[in-house]
Amino acid sequence: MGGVTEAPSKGGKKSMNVELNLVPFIDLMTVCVTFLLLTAVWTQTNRISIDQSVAKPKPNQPQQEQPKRLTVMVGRDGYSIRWSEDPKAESIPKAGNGKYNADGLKAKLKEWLDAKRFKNDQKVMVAPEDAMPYSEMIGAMDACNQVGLMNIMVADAASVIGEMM
Amino acid sequence: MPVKKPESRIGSSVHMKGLKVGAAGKAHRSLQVNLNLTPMIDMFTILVVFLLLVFSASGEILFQQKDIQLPKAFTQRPLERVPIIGISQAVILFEGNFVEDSGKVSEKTLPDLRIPPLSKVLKGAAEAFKRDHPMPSEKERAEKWMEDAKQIIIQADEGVRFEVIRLVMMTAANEGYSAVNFAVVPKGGKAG
Repeated sequence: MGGVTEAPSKGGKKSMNVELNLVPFIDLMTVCVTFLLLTAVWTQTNRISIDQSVAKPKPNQPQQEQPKRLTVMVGRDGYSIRWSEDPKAESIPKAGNGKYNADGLKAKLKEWLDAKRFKNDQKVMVAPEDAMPYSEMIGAMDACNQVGLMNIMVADAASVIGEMM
Repeated sequence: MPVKKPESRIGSSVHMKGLKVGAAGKAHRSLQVNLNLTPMIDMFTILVVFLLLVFSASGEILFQQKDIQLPKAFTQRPLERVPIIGISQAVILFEGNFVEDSGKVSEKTLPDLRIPPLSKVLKGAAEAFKRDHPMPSEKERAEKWMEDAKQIIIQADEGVRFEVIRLVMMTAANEGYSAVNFAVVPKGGKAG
């Protein structure tokens, strides 16, 4: 077990075989493997965070003007984004394979950011229709996060459209 | 080099007299068995390195459920340990315990936009948090405490209707859980 042989010296009679005792090493390895197997995390999960809390106005605070708002609607036909300063909404239809065009949404948001329509700390309202699957809402939020828009709120499309009218 | 007659060569550290005695009966056959430990040590080393790489100090936060397929996203922010609401196509769970059928949750059946059983368990969780972690008196720590107290994780299946998610979020916000963390699987990772 773990023998090391040295070249014979002139002295001659002394044994040249040195045995390394590997038993403690194997014990340590076994304990390490067992501990790491028990504490291993096999599935990695991350998070997309939103804060739905609304700051209450102070009693003596003067009435402020309506905040500017960026809205990303998720409908049956694809995404539709709207900047409150611009009355025209921009629609990003589904791709040819029927999937939502998250890359198109990302590109349009990046274009508007580069044109300095708003800054990275702009509040974004993601508003899916009630029948939309949850994964499409996450897709829209992920596209916003990827271009640096982290300040996200969620509302339903019907109430957002109602507010716009 | 002369050929030597084979003989017992059990190492001095191994006191196995019985083997030597046994060998005496059959003088020409060596009973020494050399176990080659090198492949085993190699395997252990590779295992330890791999397991150290996947080690996470925070441990497993979400218990994976077979009927909840998490959506995928590119975000890199890790989850923290806060109360978890699980939503599958069939049921809504709080910390793994059944709360309500997902099919019963809609704006038509819940006109006040609250899910009463979920509201009840969330209220209990909020009270337990306040009891176990009293609000600190220092301003900075109190702010951190207030931030922690409103955090919640939603672990929902990717196919659940947004209406169900919205009503769960509104119920949570009514009970003070307004900071919602949606659990996602990193894109390119294993879904669970």
